[in-house]
Amino acid sequence: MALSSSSEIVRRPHPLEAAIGDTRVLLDVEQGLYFGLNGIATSIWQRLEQPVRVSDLCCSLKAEYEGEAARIEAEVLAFLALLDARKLIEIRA
Amino acid sequence: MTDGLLCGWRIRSDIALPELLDWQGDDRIPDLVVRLGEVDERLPEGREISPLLQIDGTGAGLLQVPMVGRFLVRPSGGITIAPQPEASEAEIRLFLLGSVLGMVCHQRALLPLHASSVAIDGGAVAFCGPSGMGKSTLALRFAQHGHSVVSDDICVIETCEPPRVRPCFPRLKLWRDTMEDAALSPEGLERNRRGQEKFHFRAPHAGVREPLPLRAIFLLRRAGSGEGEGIQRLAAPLDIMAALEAETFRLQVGHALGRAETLFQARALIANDVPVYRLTRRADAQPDRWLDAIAATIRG
Repeated sequence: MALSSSSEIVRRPHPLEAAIGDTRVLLDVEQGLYFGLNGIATSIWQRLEQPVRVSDLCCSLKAEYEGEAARIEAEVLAFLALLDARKLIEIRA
Repeated sequence: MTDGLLCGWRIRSDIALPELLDWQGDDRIPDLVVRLGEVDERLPEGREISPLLQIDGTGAGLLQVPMVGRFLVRPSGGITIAPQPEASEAEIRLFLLGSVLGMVCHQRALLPLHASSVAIDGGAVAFCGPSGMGKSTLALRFAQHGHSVVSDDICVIETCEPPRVRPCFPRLKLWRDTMEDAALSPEGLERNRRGQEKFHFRAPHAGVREPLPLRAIFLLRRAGSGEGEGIQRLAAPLDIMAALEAETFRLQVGHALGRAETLFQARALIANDVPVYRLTRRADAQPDRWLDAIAATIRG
């Protein structure tokens, strides 16, 4: 599924999670891979617990972090593409 | 025969377990009971985890060691051993207090780390690393300087805050040359396996009975050519998590018993609470050279 601002995103159920210091550590047991999330990445990850539309996600981030809407969207899409490539999220229509 | 103490458990056994401390606790029913008896070749509805190990849906495990015997390990704590006629007692104990102990830890949601550990300043300090990297040798050298041996090979960690080590027994498996280097003689000691130049050495100091807080973990590694020696603290959470995973004793058994999440959370707890160091040494480094540096590192 192609990723766009109208996509709905949800986490895949697999990864185990823990906070170590300021880092959010994820482990995908099936793939045997660790991921570390810092700062805003953690904040985005936490917002993916329930299915969310990319545009809504960007709005809520804009409300919390200062930033230009177009830049936030570009960075969010890039980060989501990364999570998708690592099979940590599912992209719905 | 009196009951023994193993990782806080009361253990009653048909075979003598001379490396264990005597049970001196309350009059509870034994937590682990070791019997000699018949053990089938197949665990009904067992899944093969490796050619030597099956695990079933109830969490029972069947370990089959060629030339040694079969070990049936029930989650209730009942352990039945069917030894091969040629097996020595030391070999049976080697697997009972090794692979079987690891399985019991996973059944009971403890984290068994592949490590030797000693008591320093009222806490346990663990040494991990590949075979031959000097885990037991370091423990021996600390023992010769008056420290108690808390575990050899399997360091059993209870994941509370702070994480604690449940003492195993004060016995080290040592190669002949390691003993001779430390001015000890293997004469009269039991061999680890028939024909092997590795011996069961009981550390001279009274063993530890109560759990100790885990003070530090040292990952032993050999210096590459041109690389310097030294102690370096791991800082990146992912490095610590991956190292602790790599050092988990029989990780696949833990996963087969459904402990992936518990083990992950245990690693995270340690990563948050306990410093993990990489200790890089040259192959020819004298073990004693590092004792003071290790103690100084722990004391900060």
